[in-house]
Amino acid sequence: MVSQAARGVSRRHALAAAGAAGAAALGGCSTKAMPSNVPLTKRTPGAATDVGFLTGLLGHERYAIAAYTAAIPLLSAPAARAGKQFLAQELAHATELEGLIEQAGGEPPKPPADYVLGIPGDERQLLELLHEAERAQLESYLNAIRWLTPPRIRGALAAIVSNDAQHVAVLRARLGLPPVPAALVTARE
Amino acid sequence: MNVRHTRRELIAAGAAAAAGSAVWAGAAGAAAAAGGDRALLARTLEAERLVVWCYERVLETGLLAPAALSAASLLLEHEHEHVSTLERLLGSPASARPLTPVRARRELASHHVSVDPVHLRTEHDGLRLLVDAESIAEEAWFATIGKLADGAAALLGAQIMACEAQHWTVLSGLAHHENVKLAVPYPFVRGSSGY
Repeated sequence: MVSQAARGVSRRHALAAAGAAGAAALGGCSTKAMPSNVPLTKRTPGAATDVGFLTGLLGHERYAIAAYTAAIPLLSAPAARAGKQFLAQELAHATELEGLIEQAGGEPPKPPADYVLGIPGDERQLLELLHEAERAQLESYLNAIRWLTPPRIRGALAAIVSNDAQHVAVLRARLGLPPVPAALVTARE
Repeated sequence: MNVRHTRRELIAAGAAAAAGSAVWAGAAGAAAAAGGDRALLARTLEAERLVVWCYERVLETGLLAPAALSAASLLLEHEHEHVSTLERLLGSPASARPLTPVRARRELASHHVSVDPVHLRTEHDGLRLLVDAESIAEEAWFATIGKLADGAAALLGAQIMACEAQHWTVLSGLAHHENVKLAVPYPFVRGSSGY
């Protein structure tokens, strides 16, 4: 499967798949966003700033969705099973964020038509792409949690970033790295 | 929404967070000491101490095979770090009253943990207890982060909670032959309060 991945991945392939992913994500998430149980409205103090943070997080989620969608067909069977599981969870995160953005009086932006995913040449490079997408998410969530206004939003985002940290642990193990390298998740791992 | 303004804020906030990550404990400590966050963090410290007790209990049984033993030993080191970080933050005495088996059983039962820590018979029993203990820690942090007033304390909580979630995945993977559907089952981690 590694050699198949090496043959199959080109920039055009990756970008085309990612474009399809963006469309799929948009279709799957944007019209189905439901209000969360976080008490957040556009009149909540700091809501406008929070919309900015949440929109940035949504961009990272959509990039990860595109990366998983492009990578899954090229991964070996065990890795693809994990990828499908994680993709479904990333879609749930994006839906949650879209709901929070709407609650705060914002409007989720349309996703870009395609994403630059590089030219992964084999399974290891595909896993590294996914690992980097997840790591970037950890970084952005941890930054946001510190600055978001209502504590209940911080709790909602902690539930998401903890799931992304689980993804990182599995991806690191598949890359032959220690799955839990430190006692605090810092996004440097 | 003023997008340019928000982007500037994001950049500034991101830079501040990056610069502050090395000194989170001090920043969180100052705020936690000053406010009601202290009581919240003290409760999570109790949960972390219970988790440490569970790891030590499972390790002393000798039931774990080498792979699980190696993983659990490392994860216990992380749990000790969580406890010492919170103790420093709260100024708690390093030698708090140790948990007795009776108290630990009572605490675990209050979280509906069905595995009896005193009568572990197989490796699977031990791993189940550790998974349940990690769920308790996740639940404690999820509830706490949603109430903390101080952003730096919330960041620290999220960093620990995410680590506990990774522990949960490693242990559940060991207990279920690395079945990813069981090791990472839900998109939102909320601990034993339900997903």
